Amino acid sequence: MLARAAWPSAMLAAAAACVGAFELAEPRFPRIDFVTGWVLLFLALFLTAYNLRKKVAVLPLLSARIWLRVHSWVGLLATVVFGLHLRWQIPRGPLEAILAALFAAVTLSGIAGWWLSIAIPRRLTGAGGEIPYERIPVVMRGLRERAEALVVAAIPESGATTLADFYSARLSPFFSGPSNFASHVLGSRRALNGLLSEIGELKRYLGPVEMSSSVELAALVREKDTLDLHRAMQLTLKGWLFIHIPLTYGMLAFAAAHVVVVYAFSGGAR
Amino acid sequence: MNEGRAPTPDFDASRYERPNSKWVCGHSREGCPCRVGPSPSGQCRATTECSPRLVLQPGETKGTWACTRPAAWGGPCKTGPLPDGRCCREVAPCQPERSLRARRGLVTRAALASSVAALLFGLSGGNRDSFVNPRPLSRSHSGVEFARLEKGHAGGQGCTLCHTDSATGLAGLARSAARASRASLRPASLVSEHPKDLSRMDRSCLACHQHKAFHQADVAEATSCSVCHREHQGAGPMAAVASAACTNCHGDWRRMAASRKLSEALPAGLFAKADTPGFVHAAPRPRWGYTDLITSFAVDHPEFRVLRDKSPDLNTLKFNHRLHLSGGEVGTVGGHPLDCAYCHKADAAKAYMAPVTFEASCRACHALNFDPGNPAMTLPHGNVAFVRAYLRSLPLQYADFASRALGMNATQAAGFAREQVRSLLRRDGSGELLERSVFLSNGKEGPTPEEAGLKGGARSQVQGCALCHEVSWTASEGPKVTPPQTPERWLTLASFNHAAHSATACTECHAAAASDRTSDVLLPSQKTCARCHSEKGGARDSCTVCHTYHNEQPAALAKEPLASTP
Amino acid sequence: MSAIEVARLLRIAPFKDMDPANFPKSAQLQDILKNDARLRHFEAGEIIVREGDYGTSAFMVLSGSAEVVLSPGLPPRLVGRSEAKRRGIFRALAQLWSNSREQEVYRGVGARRGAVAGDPGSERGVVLQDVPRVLSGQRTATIEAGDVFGEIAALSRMPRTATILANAGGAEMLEIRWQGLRDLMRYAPQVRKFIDTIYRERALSTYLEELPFMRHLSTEAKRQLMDATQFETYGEYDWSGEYKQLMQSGSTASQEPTIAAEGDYPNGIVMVRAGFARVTQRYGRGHRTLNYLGSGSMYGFEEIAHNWRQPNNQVPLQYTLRVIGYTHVLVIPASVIESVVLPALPAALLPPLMGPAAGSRAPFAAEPESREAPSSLPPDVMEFVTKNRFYNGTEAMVIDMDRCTRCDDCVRACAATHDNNPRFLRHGPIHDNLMVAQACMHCTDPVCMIGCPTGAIHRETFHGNVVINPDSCIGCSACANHCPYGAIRMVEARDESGTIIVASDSKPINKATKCDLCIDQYGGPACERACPHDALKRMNLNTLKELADWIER
Repeated sequence: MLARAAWPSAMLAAAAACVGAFELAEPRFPRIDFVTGWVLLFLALFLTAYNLRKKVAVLPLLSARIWLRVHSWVGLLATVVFGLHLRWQIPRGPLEAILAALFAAVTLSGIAGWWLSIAIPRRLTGAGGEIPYERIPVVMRGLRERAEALVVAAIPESGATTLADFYSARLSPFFSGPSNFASHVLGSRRALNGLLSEIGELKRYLGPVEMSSSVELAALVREKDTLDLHRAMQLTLKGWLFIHIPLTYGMLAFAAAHVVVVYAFSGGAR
Repeated sequence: MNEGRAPTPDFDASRYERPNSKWVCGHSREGCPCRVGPSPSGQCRATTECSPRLVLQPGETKGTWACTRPAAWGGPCKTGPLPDGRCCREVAPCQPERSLRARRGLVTRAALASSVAALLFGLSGGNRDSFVNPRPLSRSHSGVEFARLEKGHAGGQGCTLCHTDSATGLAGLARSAARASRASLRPASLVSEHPKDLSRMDRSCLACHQHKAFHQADVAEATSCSVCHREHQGAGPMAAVASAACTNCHGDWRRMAASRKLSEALPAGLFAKADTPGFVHAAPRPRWGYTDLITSFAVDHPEFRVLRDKSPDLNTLKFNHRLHLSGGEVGTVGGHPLDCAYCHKADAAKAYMAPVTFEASCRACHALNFDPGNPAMTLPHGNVAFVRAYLRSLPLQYADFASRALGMNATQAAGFAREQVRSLLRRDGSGELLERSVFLSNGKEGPTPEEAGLKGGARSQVQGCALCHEVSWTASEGPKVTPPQTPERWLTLASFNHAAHSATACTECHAAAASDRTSDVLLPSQKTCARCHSEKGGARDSCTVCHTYHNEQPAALAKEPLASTP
Repeated sequence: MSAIEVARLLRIAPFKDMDPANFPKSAQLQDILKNDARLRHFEAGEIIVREGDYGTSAFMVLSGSAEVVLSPGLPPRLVGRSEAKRRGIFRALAQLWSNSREQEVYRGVGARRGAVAGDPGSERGVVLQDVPRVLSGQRTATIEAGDVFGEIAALSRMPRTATILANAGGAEMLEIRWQGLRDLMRYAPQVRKFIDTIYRERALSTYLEELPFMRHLSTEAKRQLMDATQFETYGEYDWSGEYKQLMQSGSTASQEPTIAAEGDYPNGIVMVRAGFARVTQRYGRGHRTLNYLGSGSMYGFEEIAHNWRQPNNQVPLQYTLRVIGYTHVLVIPASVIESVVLPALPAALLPPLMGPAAGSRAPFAAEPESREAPSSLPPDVMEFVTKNRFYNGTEAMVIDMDRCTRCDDCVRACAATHDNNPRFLRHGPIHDNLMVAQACMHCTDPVCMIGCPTGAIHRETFHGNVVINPDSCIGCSACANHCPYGAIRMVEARDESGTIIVASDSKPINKATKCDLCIDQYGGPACERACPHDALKRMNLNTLKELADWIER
């Protein structure tokens, strides 16, 4: 418990120290904004270095676990420094406004990703059907083939195409590819329940052979739904980085421009 | 969930999953990636499922082709190779796809590229000035009037007009930045308590704001304009200088000590201030300059110097505020009690009080009549010689009085004059004694005791100059009145505006009703001011409320020829 | 070995006494000698085997003699025992750009520059100087011509127990790989008998010393104990096939053979020597797994001690001990314990009496010293670990799926350190939130090594990690088939242009691949270091403590 509180409390202490140091130094050091700016830039570079650390897995540069911890908490700390650098005011100039917006977006996406990284794994574990993301199409194809085989096999045995018609009308699109991304992200089971109840409705028109096939079919639908859930969740887990990382590099470009402009226009005055 | 089993059915665990690959087979979307996979650069390498082998039995010449498909991919196929030795199972070519992570790399590169493009667009050409401007400039440094000054710049905000260093173009920007980082913005200066230096930027300021005397000669370290004057704080008037700018030095004992040292060493002439309008109480500049530590007005601003030094009001005019404000017989004129405003009237600028004049404020009571028999006869005021001339021409004055005021003809008037002069001489004995009596009587003692014995308003009407003035008499030169000196301003270094305090009663600050003596200085103490002018009191307490930093007004901008920026 | 040498060996004991008729066609005596044995000459003072090293062969002294350093043993530095060399920092960094862009590139024999233990070329003798001084203060024994040593390490896949040096004048040795020794023991009864005898002579005392009460016994009592001790071996030596069948049929604990049954009269204490045994207790209509015992653990002592102290209140065995896989045990009869051991023990060291509630307690942990601290693992996790036989792993990859974001950073890190090839599959049996991924667990009892015809899969000398030498791997997939955990995968070797290399029969050349625990990398397994979410851990499942601690972290 103590260890669990260590990071947040260290972060709070560091944030308080930053604010305190700023308040103390602000009247004495007229160029304190340059100092907070450089600190912020180095924090940003350090935070970006986590991305590079992942690329050099071959070197024993501390474990990624520690890096992520430090990355998360230093990221939060950077928002405090960011506030101090901006003096808690929204900048007006286009260059600075874009830079601040990028920083805010990177921070917010990071926090969102942090939360996703905590929340989604539990959902996935609870759902079962563990599968590496790259393997999903393979398994999906297997499910489709099994479902089709099941339906086709039921035709000669039962002499009816009720189930087959239902499959091609309702289930074929479901099995042919990933589906219901949005509802899985939102945690809704409505799509699955709808399909299952349709299969249930269908049962009154089925003969005994088709009936047993429909039960197996329902099981396959459930499996496919779990697979869709995995795809949606894993895609979300990977997707937030599509915002976080590109914006980080955009922000760094703007930060570099900001430094050059500030230095060029300082005129050495202040 | 199936306990202890790989939870996904039909999971092919015989091959590695390769999330590290940049490209994946185009068929993997359909769930059937090929065996070879795309090349590292993303080309499809689909060929056939095996490369058949020619099997030659002993003695055979032609041989047969055998399928070599490995067991992991299904083992030898049923059909077998084609007669010409090609594999019968061609792998359908695909368009390889980037892996999810490779696509993320693309997005990242695209984001970086578009950021750089946006920056190039913003930082080049005509967009730059508005792109990099952190906040609009003040009214003074923008707009049409300002643009007129810079002929080369058409309206708006010409950055290079002040930021002479920020050469145009991207390379110029980078060069300027590099130069600044080596010179004025070198790392050590960022954490210096006193990094201010007169810079190129200041030269831009001084191009217009010339002839501006600096603060005090004993400022130990040169200070850049922008230390106090913050530009780019938004449209409108230039932002007021913050008190922090002042206390940055005045609140720093080290800097004040340096100034003190300098103060004592420099010749006094350097500290002469340009004349301020009006008569200011003369408080000598301390030898060590104004180097008290001040962090805020309410906390440690020293008491005003007049009060601190207990300097008396050296005015020679005798005046008793208490007596005049008592509301009694003395303090009433025309049936109304006297108040402050009866005598003290604002000057033209409404900031200070105009000097009190005899004619406007005193004569109503102190009419300067010298003859109880003819109270309408009054002495002239303001010049000793005039008074003496008047007294020596009394017969003429009486005759003139008789003909103008009493309507007598010339003969009657001459007789009247003779009569009155005789009566005066009877009272005082001689002309010279009369003269002495007029000049030297002070209401208590002097050659006209009967007049001195009079009470109240009657007394005020017949008295000598010495009642108010300091009068001396020498045998050789006769009477001499010391001219009164009434200071209009008691604060030597600060300004004050009475009009701004009109909501406050005079006596709330000035303890006039309790003052008996002329030497009392009725300036309120610093504490009195701080009652309102403090954080608690709510009134503004910044330094600039009373003090100005520069010793002269800036030269009028338009009149000055624009100096070329160095 | 040349035919001449084989002929020479066939003329001397013990080979001349073996009956060739007992050997099947597939494993003729001369073939065994030819393929699985070689002649080696050691100089005076040269180290033949080192204590702590893992070896897969036994030695027979043909001429000369060797000195066994019994105790206290030579310092590892002195005998040149050192960790395999890791890559230099630059070579580690160079992987960033020098890794193949293609997958599964095989650069051919000798192209791999890393020090791969087990390379034939890397066998370099260490010759001790000034042997008498080195050995002064050491208790030693001499091995003469005709003696055999190293068979325990070879057969039980355990580290060498002693260092052996060649004596003055040098020694000629016949080195027999364990496959050959196994065949000899199987087809030549005298070899089996001979091995058993020397095993009793040499190893028993070492093993029995691990029992906690041994130091209270006199030399005579120890001898009595040793004489009475019996060896027993349960299960298949190569148990992976049987295990796979069991898994398919849905095995339960009750189907496993028992060593001692709950409710029986305690006949003796059982000490696990190699392999593992499962401790179960009847629960409802089934059996509940309480723990599993690994090497050095003891079973039944508490009951015997209880019965000895309270003869009127006899208790039966409280738990069932079952064989999981291949288990080698020592059994010390209860009579010896009662007559020799218990009287000699101070009262404080006697185990507590069994109370009526004794049954609710799980008194064992795999390690003797932690016996009093029962595992805090929930029973379902215990069952999961036992049923899948994960207890075998010393470096099992356990993933907490509640934390794992499926980012595959572990796989990428693995690929980055293995020439762009992942060496495990982030997938495997799941229980609740625990996944044991299909990565080599570096088993205590590596069954994968059993079938390897070339010895390409071997224990690395220093740590005993199981590694594969790709140069000598012929792609027969025996190890992959043997591995009960699916941790070994066959891949098709490719050349640098990505073309699959085919042999002369046009079939692809396969190589067995698996996790090598980043043996030549800095900082240990890259997968564990690469996990940002503290979800992946390589852990020793021989004991449950590490897992329990990790779950509760």
